[in-house]
Parts: sequence; C-alpha cells; structure tokens
Amino acid sequence: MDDKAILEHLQSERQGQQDRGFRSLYEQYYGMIEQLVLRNNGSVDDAADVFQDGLVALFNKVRQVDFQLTASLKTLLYAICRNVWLMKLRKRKRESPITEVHQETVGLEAEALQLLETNDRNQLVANGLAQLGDDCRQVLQMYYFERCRMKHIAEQMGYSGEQVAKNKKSRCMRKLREWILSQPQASEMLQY
Amino acid sequence: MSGNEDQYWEKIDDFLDGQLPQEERQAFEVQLDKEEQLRKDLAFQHQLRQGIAFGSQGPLRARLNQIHAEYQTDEGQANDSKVVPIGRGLMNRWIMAAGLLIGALTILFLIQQPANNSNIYASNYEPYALKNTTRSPGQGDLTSLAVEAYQAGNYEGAVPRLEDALEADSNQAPLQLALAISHWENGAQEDAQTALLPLLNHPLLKDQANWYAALFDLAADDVAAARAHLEVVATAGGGLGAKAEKLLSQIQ
Repeated sequence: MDDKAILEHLQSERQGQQDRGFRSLYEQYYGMIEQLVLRNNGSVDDAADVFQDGLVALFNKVRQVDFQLTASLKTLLYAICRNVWLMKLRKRKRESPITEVHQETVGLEAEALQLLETNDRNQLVANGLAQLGDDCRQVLQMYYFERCRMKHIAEQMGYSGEQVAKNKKSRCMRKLREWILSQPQASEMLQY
Repeated sequence: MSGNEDQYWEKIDDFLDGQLPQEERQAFEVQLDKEEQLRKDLAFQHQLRQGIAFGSQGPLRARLNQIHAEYQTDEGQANDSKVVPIGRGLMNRWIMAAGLLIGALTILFLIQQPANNSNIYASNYEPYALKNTTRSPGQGDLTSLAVEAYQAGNYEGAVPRLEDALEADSNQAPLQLALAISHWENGAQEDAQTALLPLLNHPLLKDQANWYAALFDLAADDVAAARAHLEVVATAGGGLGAKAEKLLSQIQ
C-alpha cells in the first residue's frame, strides 16, 4: 500500500479502514523503528512501545484539518518515533548521540507529541474527562482526538443533526472546564 | 451560561484548528495582541485539547495492541516457513550461505565507506543550547517568543520568530546561531550556512559558529571546508577545541 492509500485509510472515519492503514504501517516500517531503538540502547519491548506511541501521534496528526504531507510517510513516522525515543531516553537520563537508520528528516512541531506526555496537566484533564458521562466523553474524544467531523459524530451518537452534536460538544466542554477549574491544583498547573 | 460564551470558545477552537477564514483569523490575531484574557483562554483551551487527546487514547491503543499481536504472529509464521530441513545437499547450502555472507559483508563495507563523514556528523551534532536572554519588556516579547519556540524544538515556528527578533535588534548573536540551527533542523541547508556567516568572526561565538559550519560541511561531504573551520576551532583550545582536534584526526 502506498503513502496516499495509507493516508486515506488513516483519515477515514471507519475503524476497519483505519486498522488496514495501521497494519500496512506495521508491515512496512516496524522493522525500521525496531532497528532504531535496538541500536540506541533500547529493547524489543521499548521498540513496540515507541512504535505504538508513534502511530498514536501520527494518527492524531494526519487527521488534523490542515494536515499536509510534506515528506514521505516513512520519513514522518521515523521523525515522530525518533523523537518519542529521545524523549524516553531523556527521562531515563541516557541520552547520547543517536545512530540513525533512516537519513531523511522532517521538522516536527513541539505539540505533535504533547498528547503522549504523562504530565500532571494532561492527567488532570484526563481525570476531568473520566468524570463526564459516557456521551460527553465519546463526543469530546471523537472531536478532539479522532478529529471526526460533526456530521459523523451526530451519526455515531444518534443525534438528529450536526447542530445538535455541536451544542452537545459545547455543553460537555463547559462541564469539563467547570470541573477542572474547581480543582485546587488547577490554577497552578494550568497557569489560568 | 450563554450561547455567546459557547461561541467564544468555538471561535478559539476554530482558530486552533486553522479553520477561521483569513480575515477573521487576522482580526483574531489583532485581538490576541491586545487582550491578555483572550491569550489566557487560548492557552487554557489548547491545554484542554491536549489533555483530552491524552485521555482518549485507550480504545485506539487496544486496537493497536491487537494489530501488533497479529503482526508478530504473522512474522513468526513467516520466519518458521523459512526454516530449511537439514539433509541432502547440506554442504551445498553451507557453501552458498558462506558465499552470500561474504558478498553481503563486502557490500556493507563498500556502502559504509562513503557514509563515514555523515556518521561523524551524526555522532557530533547536537542543536545549540540557547539560553534564556534578559531583555527589556518591549523587546523581550519578540525575543522570548523566539527563544520559547526554539527551546521547545519547534524549529519551523522558531525561524520567523527569530527573524522578527533579529530584525528588531540584530545585535543578538545567540539568536543568530539559533536561527542557523533552526534552518538546519528544517532541512534548509543553504539558509543554515548563510545564517552562520555573520558569526564566523564573532568575538564570543566564533568557535561555536565554526564548529557548526564544520559539521554542516561534513554532512555535505565537503571535507576541505570542514577542515578549515575545525582548524579555527582547534586553535581556540578549551573543550570545543579538543573536540575539533579529535574530529580533525578522524577525518584525516
């Protein structure tokens, strides 16, 4: 499967299609990322974690409204996984010059990996999300993580139209904001 | 809570998604410059979005675990099917395998030779560690935005901000060096080398500028140019001088 086809699969609203895209990425690039991790002080388990983190970040990135592929998917996935692994090495204080297994590079915005960071701020919001009802959680998840269109959210949730889904999302966000701001540690963590 | 408030947050969402039409986006940016509360709300919403994305990965990860397990099973079966039964013709197989191994090692050796300079580059290159600068508040806005983007590794975002900060005050050599590194990280090699030029004789950053110029040349396989820069660094002594001397001996 070529880049264009994989992208279309990952950008699809249907999970079956998305999974076909992920399988193709495993078949084509898992070996490369495993080599990257193994050659840079990592284990086979580390490689599996890095590849999965990389796919999560890639999925979120390619589904952004303004996403454009400026390099090959291989280069983009490599850049993401390389940064994920550097991030983990830094946490283990074992950072050293990295031995590359793919020479092309592509720039990544810092925020591309923020959704992978287990920090207090992300954890606080995740706790808030868990406090919401199932409907709210699903709507926010589909909108902000899977980046689904309102029309699809309405269909999935059985709402009568896009506007209903939009109103629901606004209400759920209001609840989430209120819950978070009622937490004593919120103002310090979020500097708000 | 009013619909107006919902519209306010939706507009922030649209801005973060790059969904606002150009005119509205420009108006929003002007408003952002003026209103501190809007800047705070924007940052708050951005954090909420990141946190929601962080907290929403469970179902996707469960699917990926399944795909990973299937992939490993397939790979295992593929490897099993490659096992050749020992028996008739074993010697011939060994001879063939030895021949292939020698051939592969020769190819590997030949491939690795020209890549030597890029290996040296890769094992020595690290982005310049730009420190926070202290500036007067007016100027500090531009500078701190640039420093923040650079320190966060957002090199694409750093370039225009560094250029703005340098346009406001060109006498900020560390920012000039950070600009060169940002271009390099973005793959704009010529821009990176051009950005280094004003620093090659700078009283404080001459050594670092020549060090990076040498690494950029090595990455481009231009050993003669790299050597010239390294000799400048080596004469300065110190930690970087010692590294330059070591590199000079490696590329000889």
